[in-house]
Amino acid sequence: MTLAAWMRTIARRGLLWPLVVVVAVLALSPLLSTATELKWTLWLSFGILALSLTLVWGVAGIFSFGQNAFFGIGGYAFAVAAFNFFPATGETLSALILGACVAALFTALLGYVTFYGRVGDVYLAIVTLSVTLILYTVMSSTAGPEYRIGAAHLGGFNGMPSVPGIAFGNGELSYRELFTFAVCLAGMIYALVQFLITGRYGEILAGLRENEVRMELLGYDVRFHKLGVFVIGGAIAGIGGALFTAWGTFINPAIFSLPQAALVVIWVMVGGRGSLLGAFFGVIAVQWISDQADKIVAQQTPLILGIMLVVMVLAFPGGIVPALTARLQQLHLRLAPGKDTTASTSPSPSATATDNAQTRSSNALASRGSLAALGVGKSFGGSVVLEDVTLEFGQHHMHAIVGPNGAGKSTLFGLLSGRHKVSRGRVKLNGIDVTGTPIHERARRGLGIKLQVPSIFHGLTVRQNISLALTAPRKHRQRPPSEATVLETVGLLEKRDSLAANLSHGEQQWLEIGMLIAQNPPVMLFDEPAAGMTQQERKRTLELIRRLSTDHTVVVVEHDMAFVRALDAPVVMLYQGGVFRQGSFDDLSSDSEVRRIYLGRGADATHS
Amino acid sequence: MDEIIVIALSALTSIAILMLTSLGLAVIFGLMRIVNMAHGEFLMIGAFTTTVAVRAAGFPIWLAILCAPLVCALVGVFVELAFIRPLYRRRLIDTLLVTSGLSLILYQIAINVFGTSPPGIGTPGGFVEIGSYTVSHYSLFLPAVTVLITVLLYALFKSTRYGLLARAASDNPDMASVLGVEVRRVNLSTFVLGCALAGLGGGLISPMVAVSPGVGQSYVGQAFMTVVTGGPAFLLGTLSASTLLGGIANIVSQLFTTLWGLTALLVTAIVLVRLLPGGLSANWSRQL
Amino acid sequence: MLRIRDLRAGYGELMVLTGFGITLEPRQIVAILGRNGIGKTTLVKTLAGLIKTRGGRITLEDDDITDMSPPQRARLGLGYVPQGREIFSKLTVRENLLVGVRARKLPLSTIDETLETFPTLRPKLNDLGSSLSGGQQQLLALARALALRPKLLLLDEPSEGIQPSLLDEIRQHLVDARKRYGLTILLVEQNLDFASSLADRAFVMESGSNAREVDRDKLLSDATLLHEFLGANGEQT
Repeated sequence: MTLAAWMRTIARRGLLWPLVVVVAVLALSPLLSTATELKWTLWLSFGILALSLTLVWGVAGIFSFGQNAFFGIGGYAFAVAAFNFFPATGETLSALILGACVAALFTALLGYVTFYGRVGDVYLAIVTLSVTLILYTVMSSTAGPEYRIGAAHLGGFNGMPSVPGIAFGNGELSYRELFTFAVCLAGMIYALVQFLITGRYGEILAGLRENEVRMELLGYDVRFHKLGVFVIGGAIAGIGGALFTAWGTFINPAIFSLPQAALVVIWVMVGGRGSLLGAFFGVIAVQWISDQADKIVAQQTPLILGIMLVVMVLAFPGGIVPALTARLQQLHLRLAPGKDTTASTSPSPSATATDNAQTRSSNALASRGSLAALGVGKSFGGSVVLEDVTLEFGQHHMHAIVGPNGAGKSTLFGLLSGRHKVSRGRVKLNGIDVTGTPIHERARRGLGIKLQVPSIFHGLTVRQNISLALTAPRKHRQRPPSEATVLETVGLLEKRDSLAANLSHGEQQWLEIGMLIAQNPPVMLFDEPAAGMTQQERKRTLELIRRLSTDHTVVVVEHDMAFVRALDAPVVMLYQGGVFRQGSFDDLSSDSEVRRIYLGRGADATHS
Repeated sequence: MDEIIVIALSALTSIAILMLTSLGLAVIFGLMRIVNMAHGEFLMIGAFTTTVAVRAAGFPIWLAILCAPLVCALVGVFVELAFIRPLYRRRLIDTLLVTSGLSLILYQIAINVFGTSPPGIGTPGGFVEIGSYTVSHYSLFLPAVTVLITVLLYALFKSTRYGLLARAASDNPDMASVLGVEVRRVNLSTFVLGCALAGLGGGLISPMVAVSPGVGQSYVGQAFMTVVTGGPAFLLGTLSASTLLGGIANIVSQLFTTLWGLTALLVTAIVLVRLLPGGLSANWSRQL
Repeated sequence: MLRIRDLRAGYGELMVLTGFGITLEPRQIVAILGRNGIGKTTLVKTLAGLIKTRGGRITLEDDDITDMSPPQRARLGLGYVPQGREIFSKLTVRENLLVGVRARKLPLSTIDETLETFPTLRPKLNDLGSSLSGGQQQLLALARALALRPKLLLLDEPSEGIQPSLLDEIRQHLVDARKRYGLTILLVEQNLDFASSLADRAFVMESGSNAREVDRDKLLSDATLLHEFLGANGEQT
């Protein structure tokens, strides 16, 4: 690759800025006083900590309230390792790496428990903070001489003084050298995170933040990805902690305190939750304010932090977060259209274009699958909602499931999609038993799902939405179609750079169908696709579903009988949690029992 | 033999302390689902109220302990009206952040008023001798009073008008209001009750621990873990979790050191979260 | 009894009711039908006070209840059986019945009187609300509302997921309550048979501002409803 090409990549991924800043700061560093350098080194270590929360919370949407704990663990691990390694090797770089590893290991354990235990978002915040506060007490009780790891004494409440600083083998770095090291380290970490979130991984993280359910339905293992980014965040915080310890040659349990935990959140909120540079700005702004405040009234940091936190949350009635996302979205809109203008000269969706798309997709995709429920039943608490339902889909192109409200349609849908666990019976997908298989694994094996309320990534553009579906992990044989095919088929080519949130209700429904087409699974399951649509929109949706049914097995659960009639497919009718009738639409609508259930005609002559 | 009795008594005291420091949170977080990060500061306010009442006002200890819930209740009324009420329909994270801010504010105010390590009060009552060991009366009194408070609370929530309305208002606020429950007023009472309980807990443990502005923060983490592992039955679930976690932590500390005791508590709680994400009482037929 | 004039309500930016009006006479049972999503539940929730009124007037007997809170409306005699039952899942069956009685400080004997009319709930009194079957929950929701002797009962799809035999029981309870103390009922339904067998008057809600009255005996041959419920074409009627 040529230098010019490198530069382009660097610019495209937003790496130019930090590079310029790093070079500028290093060039100016001879002009700085030692005190300034010291202060900035501290802020850089805090900035790295803030950056880790920006990644975990701002980018991936996981609110961790214990990021300072991982920072502290990194700091302690560095101190312990430095005491033991430095006398022997004269370097502490390995201790820094070890600090990151220990912090990563700790986050991995904590993340495994919380994400795989599927505890809710708020519980994660509570668990991480509780763990942090308990660590404070634990580390404070290590004063006894027996708490010694090799040459390092943990020191209880007073912590560990005289920790060796950063050293490469020929003595500890001077303040100036440490500052240079910190600038480079922060720059590298920044570049790494920036690189991660602008690429394919960034798309996955944005997907996690925007809509976990859809991510699972696309086949992404949400638990695994959440754990992954949590651990990366932990490792980064650990490096920050190691730098912090090396800066002050000192660490104590105060790092695990509530003020410290709150401080990290405040930095990120002030700097802007989704902005990487904001992490550093937040640190600088908040630290500067508290330094200034300290000059007026000394030693009141917790009070100032507390007031900042309360005011920030209460002053934004809609939440600070939406306010920030709104700004972020504007940023997106400004940047996104310029990204790929070269490919945007395609014609507006015409009959020919759609037909082409269709033939192309027919050739590429043709293969149907099968989906079967074998004697499935479901109880919630004491009530049996579904009982002994046996159904097989696949011998036809399209199937419809109907039934009055409360017949068990949504429960059956939940069992087929994997949202609910069956109480009895088995579910088979393409002949393979998937009864205990999680949602994302069913998706990978070829089950596409369209939910009733459009489940899309509201904060992402149409193309990003489709892209997440196109590149989703898959185990079924059908290859994904091209992005253009998908956009043409659902008629969103013109709007491909719009934010999904700005689409009309009908367009959002089609975008979701577009994601299904992109997944290209053998079996597609639709939950009330016509709900809340205008007549016009219903017609288009009907056409879309019909077209898809030429080369996929399509199952539609629908309440609206007019829509079902138009589908012209074999119908299964559920009633009272069981299969009541199966047959053609005309058979069913002329069946007196069915009419009785829907209309009550002649059900009980004495009443009318 | 004596040693086993002493270990068992000590474990009982630890369980009682864990329960006393978690009860207020059990009501506010367990029942009402309000993430109150300032819970520790209510413990601290309770503990300081008792200390000050004994040292400065010369109150007898039992009266001083009873002052603690009253003071906390007053603070609780203010906190509910000013900070919690505007946040009832907001995201839980907002409540969490605001109460964290509140926690820091109260913590700093305490430092400004009392300093970082103010003098405490001694353990009241005498000692009993068990073989070669001595055990204070007060450490035996704590488990008894814990049981009493739990029983009274159970009766309050199970058998009184207020208790029923409070549970209904937390279970399904819309439906409760349609049936005639003044949900806002009931929620205020319940929040204040939780604050008073935290204050009582703080007051009761104040003779046993070093009372400092940070005392609450050393308990709030354990309290949250206890209520979370307790699950939906906010009283009996919390009691079970206190027994399990407090018992394990205490016995491990006695066999090894406090550090390992706390570590054991943390590990047990984390393992329980993984194995029983719904908490110990997830499948109980009594949700109280 | 109940007068609704030009009612406007919705969620956030979405307005669902855009000037809806209807009047109920005392002891009348009025059914409102219409397709999913047209705003039937929004109407009932707005009447119960759970959704804020953005315009128009609601009068219950002589009281203007437009700006009243749900408990105030309950005290004036408004009862509500919501869609999906909304049983207090962590309370026992007995406690579910007690909430309203205690909140309104009615005599505890009300519970026993209610249980006499709902004998099937008696063996379940100490079970958690969440352990009941759908049908039992529906009976409990109805008993919970009727125990307070409301003057006007709002019923949101009581037939949802309920067996026909149980529907007959529910119908009987409603008819009895009207006979015994003159209950007025506003019923929102999908089940035409249930609606037509119970209601004195029936309306088909066609938009957020318009409901068309239908002769209740002709409900079962109404073209719009048939098209909606059975997908039948207009000419088939």
